Amino acid sequence: MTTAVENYVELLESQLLERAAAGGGLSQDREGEYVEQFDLLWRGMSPQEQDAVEVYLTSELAAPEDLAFIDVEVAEGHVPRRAA
Amino acid sequence: MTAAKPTTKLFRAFKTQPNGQPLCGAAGSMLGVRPGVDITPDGSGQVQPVTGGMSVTPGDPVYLPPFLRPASLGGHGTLPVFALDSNALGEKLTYRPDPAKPTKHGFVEPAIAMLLTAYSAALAETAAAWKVVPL
Repeated sequence: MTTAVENYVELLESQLLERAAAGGGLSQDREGEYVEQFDLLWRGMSPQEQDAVEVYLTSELAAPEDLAFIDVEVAEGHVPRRAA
Repeated sequence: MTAAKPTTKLFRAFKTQPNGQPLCGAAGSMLGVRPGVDITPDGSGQVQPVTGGMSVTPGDPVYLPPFLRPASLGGHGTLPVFALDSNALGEKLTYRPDPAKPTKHGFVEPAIAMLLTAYSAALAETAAAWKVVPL
């Protein structure tokens, strides 16, 4: 992961933590401040770095949904998809 | 008779005014441009065509950058996404695809040389034409 991608991920983690601490949502002014910071980072990235962020988001943000899916299967008595 | 200009659906996320229209101003989340970032005026305060402008995403909101894309499209943005047909830009503004990534990014630019203040005012005049996209 390059420094630019790491910076994006760190900022994303800050945003998600702040949202969680606020009970789920931030004011649009605060979200706008985050947009400004993300935008400046995004502009400085190469296409490959932007793709790396997208891959990270696909893997990290999809994880909770996958876990929920597995829980449902276990509750219904099925073998979890990811059990080896 | 002149040929009709092809239209492109343009997407961008904005902070909103109480009336539901995009909030105007010089920020990445507003209807406007940041001088020196989105477009750079010359010494007399004028901005030129084909030198950049307000960023938009053409065609499909799935191509918005992730910080503007809502979770339903795999992003982490929370501001509402708006859309506008490029033929609603008026005579002072024009849409130009970004040559580096024409399917994902473009600019709403001044159609002719004008003062930055006039360009910002022209952008603000489009506020009522932007409509929220349910995503």
